[in-house]
Amino acid sequence: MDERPDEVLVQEARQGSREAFAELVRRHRQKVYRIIHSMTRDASDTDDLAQEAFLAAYRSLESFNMKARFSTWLYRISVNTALSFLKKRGREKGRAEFRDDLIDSGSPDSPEERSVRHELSARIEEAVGALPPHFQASFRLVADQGLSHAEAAQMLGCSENTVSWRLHKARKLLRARLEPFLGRS
Amino acid sequence: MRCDKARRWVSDDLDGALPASRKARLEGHLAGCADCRAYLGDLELIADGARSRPADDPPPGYWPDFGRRLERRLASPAPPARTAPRLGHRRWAWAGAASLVVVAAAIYIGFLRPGAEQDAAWFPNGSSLASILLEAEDDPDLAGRLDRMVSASIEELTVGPDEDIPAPFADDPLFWEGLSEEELRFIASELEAETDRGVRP
Repeated sequence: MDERPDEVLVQEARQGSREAFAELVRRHRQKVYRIIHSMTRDASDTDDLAQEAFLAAYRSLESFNMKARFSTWLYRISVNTALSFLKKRGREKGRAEFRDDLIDSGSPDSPEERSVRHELSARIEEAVGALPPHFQASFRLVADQGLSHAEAAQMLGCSENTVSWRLHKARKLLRARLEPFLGRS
Repeated sequence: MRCDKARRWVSDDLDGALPASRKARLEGHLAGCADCRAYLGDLELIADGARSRPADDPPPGYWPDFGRRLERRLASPAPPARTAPRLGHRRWAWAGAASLVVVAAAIYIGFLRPGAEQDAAWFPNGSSLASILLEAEDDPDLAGRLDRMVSASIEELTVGPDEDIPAPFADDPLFWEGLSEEELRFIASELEAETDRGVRP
């Protein structure tokens, strides 16, 4: 197992060592995949975007100033790659706002014999996917991936306060839209 | 504490980001606010539902293929950056649009604006007023047109008599003859006060 720290591998990769970069990919690919998948919820899109993120990182190694950790820098590239994709997809679908139709397309007590929890989980997934991209990214990173506000802020390139505010707004939106499915009278 | 603030803190608390000092205040608010307790309950349900999805990991055997494809792409030369040509294209588009706006504005000012024909008839392009006056000294025709233009401008700016109002009563001799001595003295004193002329007592 390669014991060299990331910073050494980065230096070697900058000097043209493809093997050093491959080791960096091996170390961080799982996390990159999870971050992107948590935002896209699609295996095929995640595969494409993970490739793009590693390619972008490789081609931008010269601009990495070593002030932050390599992993933080790489995860930020991954988040930005996924965010760009979400924005583009939102434009292509003609929506960037939270869509009511996602919620109104069925009732919580549907004829199918699915459990209430499974139904709610599916509704939540749809509703989170319909959040504006930056709200969605904050929610995915913190609520799904378990990152702290500080870590999410580093990846998103904003302040912790902004992350906190986006999460608050995201939760308010989700709660308002999912209220019919939350089992309260 | 207001419910808006409490709900922001509820969100932070779910992420483990609420300082202990605020947590105590939040719990105090929740103890007395049924709406905010219900809000917290809903957010916990949403959080549980969001976490109950299957893991995000790829299928077994995925990574070797991922690595091979990435290696192939790393080995191929980077495609030319799209940013510069696109920006350049947009710059030309903006420049073209700006030119059209300038041309449209020039057409409007030069030909369509009311009074533009008169201006355009004698104002040489790019001349200042000083150069026009100098030119008029040697050109009687231009000087005449300039005079007419200035006179027309003065007339345009001068408020003319309102034609709806009958001729001033002061022009009517019968008006003055019908006034009493007292009224005449009053008018005289008002005129003196207004114009600061005349003999004051």
